Amino acid sequence: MSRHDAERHGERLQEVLARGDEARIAFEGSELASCDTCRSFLEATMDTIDRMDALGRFERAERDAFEQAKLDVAPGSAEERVREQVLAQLRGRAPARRRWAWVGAAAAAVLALVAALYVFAPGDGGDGGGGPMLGDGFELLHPAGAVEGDSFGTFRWSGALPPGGWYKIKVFGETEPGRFDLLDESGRLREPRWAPDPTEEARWPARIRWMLEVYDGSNASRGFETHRQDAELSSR
Amino acid sequence: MTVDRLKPLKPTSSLQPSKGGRERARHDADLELVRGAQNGDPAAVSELLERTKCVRGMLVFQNRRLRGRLGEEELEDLVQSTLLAIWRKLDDYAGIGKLESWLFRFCYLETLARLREMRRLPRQLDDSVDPPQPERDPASEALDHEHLYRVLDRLDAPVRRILLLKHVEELTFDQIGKRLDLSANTAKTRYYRGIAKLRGLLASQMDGPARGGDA
Repeated sequence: MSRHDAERHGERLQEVLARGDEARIAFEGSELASCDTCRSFLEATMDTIDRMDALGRFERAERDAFEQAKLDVAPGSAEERVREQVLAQLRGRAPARRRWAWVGAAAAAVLALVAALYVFAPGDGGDGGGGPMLGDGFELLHPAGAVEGDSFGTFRWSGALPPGGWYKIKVFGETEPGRFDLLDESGRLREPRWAPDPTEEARWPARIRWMLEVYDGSNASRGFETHRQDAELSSR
Repeated sequence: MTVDRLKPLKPTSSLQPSKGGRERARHDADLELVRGAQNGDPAAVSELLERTKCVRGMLVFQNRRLRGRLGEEELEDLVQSTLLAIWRKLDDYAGIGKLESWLFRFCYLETLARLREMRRLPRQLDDSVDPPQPERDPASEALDHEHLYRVLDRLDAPVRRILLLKHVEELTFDQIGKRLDLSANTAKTRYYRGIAKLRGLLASQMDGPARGGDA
């Protein structure tokens, strides 16, 4: 097997990938064929492209099937209820905005202040060795305290999700002593676990603080169901 | 969700059909309609309410494709919650394809999420009580692609847009470039960066929930 030459092989790989459907054939006929690193990269990339191709075929086929089905579906009461809600919002929109704007702004400012104090106040996990913080039935399980190795691994927590609700994880890093800046955040999660992007995670500092946010089925934040946990990598 | 930062739209009449543009003009018109409704333009709101009437048919169709696990009342509830969710998430429509294509994808994910919440989706289709189907099985395919859809949702909107234009709308890099006011080479470079980002996200979630989640 040849040794991986990041710069030269990288350029060559781009040329190979640009061959589209013939990329695998082009790869086998090139100097890269004997490089394990390049082969593994190519396979992972082509696998992702294949999955996207399959998704595209699926979506087009389903859209076609839907159009061919020509379903004759009578509207129900849901459409009318939604119409009324949308129109009511539209009618009340301008005055309501003016009337409640200052109340909303003040409430948002108070909530932000409380959340900031809650997240960034010196905490019981400040030494990185505190146990999981309990509250409202939520428990932040991992990472917590000292973490062995060079990765925080998969984030895990427990607690009941409201019906139709979702979680969000926010990760803050200690960029200087006592100061935490937002590093990363998850998308919407329905399962109590999250694996951050390894490329992003590699950039995090050794000490992080993470926070769980819980939203209900109408996408409203459950405000104070916000929890935090500190963790520190032993080897970073 | 990332909210697209959109350039001001060209008036539809100024678009040159030779540049690709009947499709593009139609999508831009859809985008203008959606943004108009978001801004409270009564005519746009009214038209959008009409356009979203197809949602019920899409949900009925998808429920059948997923082997009819929702009853009539459950479907009625799903229609209402999906329509409300669509109005809440209009920001996500970026004019990639026609409005109905976006609605169709949206409905699929809402149907799958509802079935999962109600524990009506089998973890694996082998667990299903339904007999195996020799032909193409959309229920199985939907489960296969659900995770990918959700990971795509985590990408920045401009990256997601290029991937969908390439794989769902089957545009060439040249066509994508014209659609997004980029050169074909820039479109290609951004596409491969997007694939790399997607690959990273998929790899990072390999130890995540199994297909079928909590069902």
